[in-house]
Amino acid sequence: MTESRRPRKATWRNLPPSEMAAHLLDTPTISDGTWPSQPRLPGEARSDFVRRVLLGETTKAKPKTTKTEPQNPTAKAVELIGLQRGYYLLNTDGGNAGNRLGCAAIGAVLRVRKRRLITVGQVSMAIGPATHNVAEYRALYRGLRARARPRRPANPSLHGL
Amino acid sequence: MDSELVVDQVNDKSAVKKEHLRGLYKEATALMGLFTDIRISWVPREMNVEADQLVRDALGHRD
Repeated sequence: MTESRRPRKATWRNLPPSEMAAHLLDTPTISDGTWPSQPRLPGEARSDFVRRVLLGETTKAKPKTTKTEPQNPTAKAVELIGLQRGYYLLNTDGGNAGNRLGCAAIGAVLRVRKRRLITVGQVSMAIGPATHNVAEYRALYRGLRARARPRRPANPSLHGL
Repeated sequence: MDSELVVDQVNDKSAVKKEHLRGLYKEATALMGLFTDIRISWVPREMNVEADQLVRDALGHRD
């Protein structure tokens, strides 16, 4: 036997039996329910968590500041209406220049939700004198028209009549 | 869209009282009928900024 072997790490396993028993009795185990049940801090590495909670060491590693990127308004809308993947998202708006029958305009953005939102098309158009509500309706109509596909006619011979 | 009136009307939650909107309502609901799965929801204007901006652009507003 050579003594070149590195001494084994001191764990409870290589304590003398009497101390081992004492150690095990002192050390809480999961089944005791005495383990601190703390959640990991946001951004805390598992190893840091183990050191902090199980070994009571305080680590310098401060929890990473959770990135709170200002969510863009459309992403919020997607969340709000629960838009699923593969579905289209149509935003429309209509308004007029101020006076009741002033020049009005419509705006519409059509997007499809894939992995991210992809803009398919948009409309920005003056529609002449109209009330606010008329403009809103016209914007909706114009936007819907972009994706509306006529249903196959029930009787093909009538097609085109 | 951000017009509560139009959203409620096309979803048949409120009646179309104004005569001049009735034709537009019919057109819109006819188009909606061509979609198998469609939902018209109201979103606050802050979530409708792009469409709002397109209206402003067409009106010649610079903001």
